[in-house]
Parts: sequence; structure tokens; C-alpha cells
Amino acid sequence: MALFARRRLEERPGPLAYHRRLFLRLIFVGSLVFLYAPIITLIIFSFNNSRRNIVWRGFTLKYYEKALNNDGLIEAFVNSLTIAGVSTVISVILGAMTAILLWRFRFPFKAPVEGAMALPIVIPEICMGVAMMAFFIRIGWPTDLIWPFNLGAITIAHITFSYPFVAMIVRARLASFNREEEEAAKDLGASEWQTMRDIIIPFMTPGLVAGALLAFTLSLDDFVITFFTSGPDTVTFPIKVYSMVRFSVTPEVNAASTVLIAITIVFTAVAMWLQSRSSQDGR
Amino acid sequence: MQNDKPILSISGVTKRFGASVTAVDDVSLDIREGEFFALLGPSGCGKTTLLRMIAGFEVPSEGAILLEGADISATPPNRRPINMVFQSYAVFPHMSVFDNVAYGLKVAGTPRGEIRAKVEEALSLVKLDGFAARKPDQLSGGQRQRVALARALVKRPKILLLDEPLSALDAKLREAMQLELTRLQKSVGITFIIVTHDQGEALSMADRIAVMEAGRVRQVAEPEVLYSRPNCRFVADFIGKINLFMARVVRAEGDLLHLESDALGHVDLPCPEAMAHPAPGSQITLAVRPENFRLGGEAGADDLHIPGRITDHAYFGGHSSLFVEDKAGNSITVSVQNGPSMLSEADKCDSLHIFCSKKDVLILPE
Repeated sequence: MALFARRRLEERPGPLAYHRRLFLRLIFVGSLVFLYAPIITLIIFSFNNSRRNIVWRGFTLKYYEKALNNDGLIEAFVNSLTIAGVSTVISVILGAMTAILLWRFRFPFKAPVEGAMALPIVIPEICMGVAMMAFFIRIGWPTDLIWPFNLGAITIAHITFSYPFVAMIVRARLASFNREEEEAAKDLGASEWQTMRDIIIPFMTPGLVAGALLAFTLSLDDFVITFFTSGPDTVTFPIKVYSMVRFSVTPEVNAASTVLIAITIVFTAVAMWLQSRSSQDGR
Repeated sequence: MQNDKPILSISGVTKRFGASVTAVDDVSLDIREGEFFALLGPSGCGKTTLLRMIAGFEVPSEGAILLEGADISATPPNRRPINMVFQSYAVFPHMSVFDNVAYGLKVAGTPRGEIRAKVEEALSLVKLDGFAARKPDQLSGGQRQRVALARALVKRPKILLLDEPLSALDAKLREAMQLELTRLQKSVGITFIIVTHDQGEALSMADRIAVMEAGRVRQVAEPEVLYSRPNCRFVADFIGKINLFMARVVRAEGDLLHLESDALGHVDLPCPEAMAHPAPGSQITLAVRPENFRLGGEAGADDLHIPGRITDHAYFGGHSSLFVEDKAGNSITVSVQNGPSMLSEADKCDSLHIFCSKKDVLILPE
């Protein structure tokens, strides 16, 4: 009898045992389905042996082969990765420096500067795109440069909208920095630069990694701003996919997208692994 | 180890923040080589600002800080042979214990082999042998503090600064650390300057104490002197418990003051050397420590006696505090050692006399 009573008690979910409530479990499963069903469908249909790609007609890898042999698609893909890589590196450097500036120093008009910095985050993308286009035309940015310099305009536009995100993330991280650690380093004989290199940058690292991840993703899948700043020879992956879809959604598009998803997943996993390793090191 | 040569001279140092805040106000202090010195005061009295100026994190607005005779007021903290243990310990979280302790040597360009030996020595000095590979998040608060100590001591500084080092520890550990810090200081022979708001900490550890209030140093003395001969009302009140009585000067006869107090009655006391003779009719403060009162027994020739009644008592284990109300309604705290019979006897007395020897009555200038 006592045993029975105890079992009853264990079965009743506690106030925080959310995973044991049916209702919440349903919501959890439902949100997963809505999030990932389209992506999984996309991946599955990349193996579909059908040109129209509406009904499943058997497994094939031929559209992967076709995508790999589509020079235009590969070129767009390489362009996207190049732009994303360069703009991520520059965004992280600029963003980190902005974060340190806003965290460390007091200067006149600090609040307006901070607001202006966050502006690219809130301005509608379409406005940013038009503004960028108008700007590059106005200053007469050359469009006939050789690769990779012809990607300059798009890269600059991408840096403009991704570095504020990096700055915000790094700034948030720095807000929890114990200033006594910096003072301790100097007290022990470290110069300003040594303190930055040995104490502050290691502390910022998780923020830098997260910021880089975000900047890379933002750049990789940006369509609107890229559309306005790209020339006829500078096609990025999203724009190429868009132009392909205008004719028909073939499994080739699915295959190319699947490769992009795979690359993103690997990249994210590596970043998360690096971050968890560095957070084991610290707090 | 101790001698009278000052290792650090603070002369006329003032620190202002902005136009309105004066954190440290014209402080002059000499700190002797090899001594354990405490800066004691309530929060906001400027003790930490003073410590930060010695470390180099703040630059004095006026005055100079001299280390062995050389002005270091404008020297940045990384060029001063002075190290600090921070209140939060500020152990670098991404470095192992070894790397934390080695950091100061590394940035100074010490050869690797030498670093290893020195770090191991420092770790064993603070009893952390075997912890070198640990990360700070695997350490307790007390152990992190030892890392901070080792990290500062490994540099062999001329002066070690400690900012409220014990405030984050629990009572038991704090007591053990007090003892250990004094022992450590004696064994390494480095001058320690500690900042604390805890008078017990300062009394038990320091060779000399500077009591600060509102940016000024009120008294600099050995713990015993500070306790038994405070030079002002603030120090008397801040260090330990004390009963204060207002008194009026009736007249002065040479060095002897005739005073009239409604609690103590008529008292004649020698005027303290440091004090200017007060004019007749002026008010001064008299003070008596709670443990200098006796309950009952015979009054000696030199004793004051106060009739009163016990209104309350508080039991503290080894001793008890009795709250005695005199005829004029002043509340007097009396501390008694707890024996088997003492309290119960006193408890019953509704009216009693408390005595104190005249030499235990202190005259405090305002």
C-alpha cells in the first residue's frame, strides 16, 4: 500500500516537469514539425527522379551531378561563400572594435552613435538595398572589375548590415566582464595590448564566435540587398536559385540547397563545438 | 623584519572625482617596511580609493605617493613593484591555476624554467600544491582567493595590497584566513596593506591601523592604542563597543579637569596630552568601554559608581551584555564574563550599582 502511494506521487508531474505534460509535449513536437518538415521535404525531393518534382518517382543522384556541372550555379555558390567569408571577417573585426568602443569609453554623443550603429538592423531591407544601389551608382563604383574584386559592392553592403549584430552580441558579452580582471592583469605587469590579447579577447571569444556565425548566415542567405547591389556578372547563390525557380522548380535547385544546408550545419556544429570548448575554459 | 624606515610615504594626497566628490582628503601616512598595515573605515570613507592610488589605478588630484623615496604618483600600475589581491579575486577564468600564477612572470619575460619553479613555490606557500592544473571554476571561493594571493606574491612585490580580502568568505573560514594571512606576511616579510571595514579583522591582523572617515585619516596607531586610547569620538565608537557620556567642564586646575556629567556625576580627570585645554562651560565627551564596568562588589577609592537598574540582557556565550538604565534615563552597556553565578545574581537585582575605575574613563574631543 505504501509502495503504491509512492508510485502515485512519482507519476504526478511536478510544477517544472514540463516534459511530462502531454499538452506541452504536443506543442513541442508540433513546432518541430512546422520548423523542419519543409526542410526535410526539400532534402528528400532533391533525390527525386522527376523533372517536374511534384510526385515522388524514385531515388536518383543525377540532379546532384547536374548541379555540380551547372557552371552558373557553381559560380554563384563560390561567389556567395567568398562574400560571406570576407564580410564575416571584416564584420567581426569592426563589430568587436565598435563593442569595445561603446563598452569602454565615454565620449560626446555616445547615445546617438550607439543608436546610429544599430540603425542597419531596424531599417527595412528593401530601403537598405535601394540606398546601397543609389550610393554605388552615385560614387561611380566600377562594375567591370575582375573576380573577386567585382564582389566588392555586395561585400560592403553585407558588412554594413551584419556588423551591428556582431557589435551587439559582443557588447552584451562584455557587459558581464569583471573589470577587476583587467586591472589584475595590469597590476601583474601587463601592458594595455597584453591585457587586450590575454584577458579581454579570450573573454569576448564566445561572443565573437556567435557574432561570426550570425554574420556568415546573414550574408549567405541575403537576397534583397544583394539583388540591388549585384551586377550581371556577380550572381550569388540565392539570386541564382531565384532565377532558376522562375522557370521551374527542378530537383537541381533542391540538390544545390541541400548542399548549402549541409555546409551550414557543419559550420554551425564546428562553431558550437569551439564555443563549448571555450566556455569550459571559462565561465 | 620590521623597522621604522618608511617604504611608502603618502603625503598630502587628495582625490577628487568630478567637482563635488572628494573621496580622499589630504591624507598623509608613512607605512614602514615589513609591517602589516590596515586601512579601516566604514564604506565610502575613501579607503579603497586610497588603495587604488597606491596600486596606480587612480592618480591623486593633489599630493604625492613615494615608494622608497621615489615619486610614483604617475607611474602606471604595470610598472609599479606593488601587487594587489582584488576583492572579487579577479582570477582569470580561462586560465588554469598555474597559468594564473605564472601570468605576471610571463609578461615580465621570466624564462620558462624559472617560472615553473617560482609558481610551484608560490602555490605551496598558499597551500595549493597539486592544484596547478585546475581551472578556477573547479575551485571554492577560499581556494580562488589563495590563487589571487599566490599570483600577487610570486612577483615578490615591495608591497602587497589586499582589498577587503575576507569579505566574501564565511565566518569560520574568515577567522582561519586571518590567522593564515598574518602568518604568511611574517614568513614572506613583504609589507601588506589591507583595506577592511571590519574592525575585528583589522585589530587581529594589523601591526598598525589607520582609521578613516569621510576621506580623512582620524587616527593611526597600534591596535591596543586604538582600542584603549582612541583620539576622537568617531574612532572610539567605530572600534569595539563604547558608552559615551556628555559632560560639562566646570573648571580646569592645571592639567586636571573638573567635569560634571549627569550619568557619571562629578569627575575629575587629567586632560589628555593631545588635547587643548577646554574652556570652562564647554561640552566634552567621556567614554567607557562596556568591559570596564563592574557589577556589585566594593567601590575602590578611585572608582565612580552609578546607581541604576538592569533593563535587558543579551547572551553571547562567553560574555553577556547587560543594559543598565541610570537615574537620568541613560542606557549604559555593561559587558560581563559569564560565570556560573554571575548572571543569575545580577538578573535578580532591580536596583544595583555599577562601578568603573577613573583611569578607564576616556576624554574625547569632538
